Amino acid sequence: MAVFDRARLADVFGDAVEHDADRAAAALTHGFEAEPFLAGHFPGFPVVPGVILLDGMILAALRALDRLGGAQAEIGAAEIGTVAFHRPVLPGMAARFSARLDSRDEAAGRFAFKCSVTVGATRHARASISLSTR
Amino acid sequence: MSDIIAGIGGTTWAPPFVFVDRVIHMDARTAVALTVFGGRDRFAYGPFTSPSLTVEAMAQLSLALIRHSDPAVEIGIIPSLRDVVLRPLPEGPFQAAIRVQWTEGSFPRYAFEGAAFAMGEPVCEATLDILATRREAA
Repeated sequence: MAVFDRARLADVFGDAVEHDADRAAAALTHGFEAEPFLAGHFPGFPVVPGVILLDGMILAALRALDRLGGAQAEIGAAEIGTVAFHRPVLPGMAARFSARLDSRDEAAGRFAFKCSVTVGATRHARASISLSTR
Repeated sequence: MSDIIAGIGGTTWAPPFVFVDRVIHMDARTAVALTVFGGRDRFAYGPFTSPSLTVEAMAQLSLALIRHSDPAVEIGIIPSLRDVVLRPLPEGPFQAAIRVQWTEGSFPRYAFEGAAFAMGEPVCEATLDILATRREAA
């Protein structure tokens, strides 16, 4: 069992990951169009659910972790101190999911990331996400 | 957020993004529901259910609890989450028990503590802030 399945998350968010030269950050961009969850959230007024935005940020953190030497590491738990949704992400918007390493405790297998969702230059959501490997 | 609040007024969740199957307990401050994840008619990432979807179940159950005391409340959004812990979920379809407790707030902003259990094990904890809409009196 894995907390997050990178491949399945990539089915929704794509797998075109960009990494910073310092290997501590990752980002991926996804244009929301007609994903199945939009039919139910909400009929007549589709809005990308906040938990889907959270999954996109977690995938960005997983991809950053891959480059930090944790490729394919199994994640035992994910802890999110805070996640704030500032603005809705709507169909037709290209959302950029970013994660940057904030701190690491390799002995404990714990990696903390600052994550965000932006559309253009506007931040729509942010989160502090810690991934614990096992 | 005012645009989204105005836009979703009068609507509600619909398949495949409904995550409460059956409410088995509800009192003034607490609700418990059962939900099968990973079924064909419910959104998942293929055969894989993201633990984040249990948070969505908590939000939908929280709204049901709010409406239990205030039927004029229609629907809500999650402006923020706190203290979220996500743990491994079973692969394939499984039934989860979702519990929420109304800890503070009143219309339009509420706070709930939620927990999800699968196969007897805790798989998710979260504190949810809910911003609700209410039908205007005629």
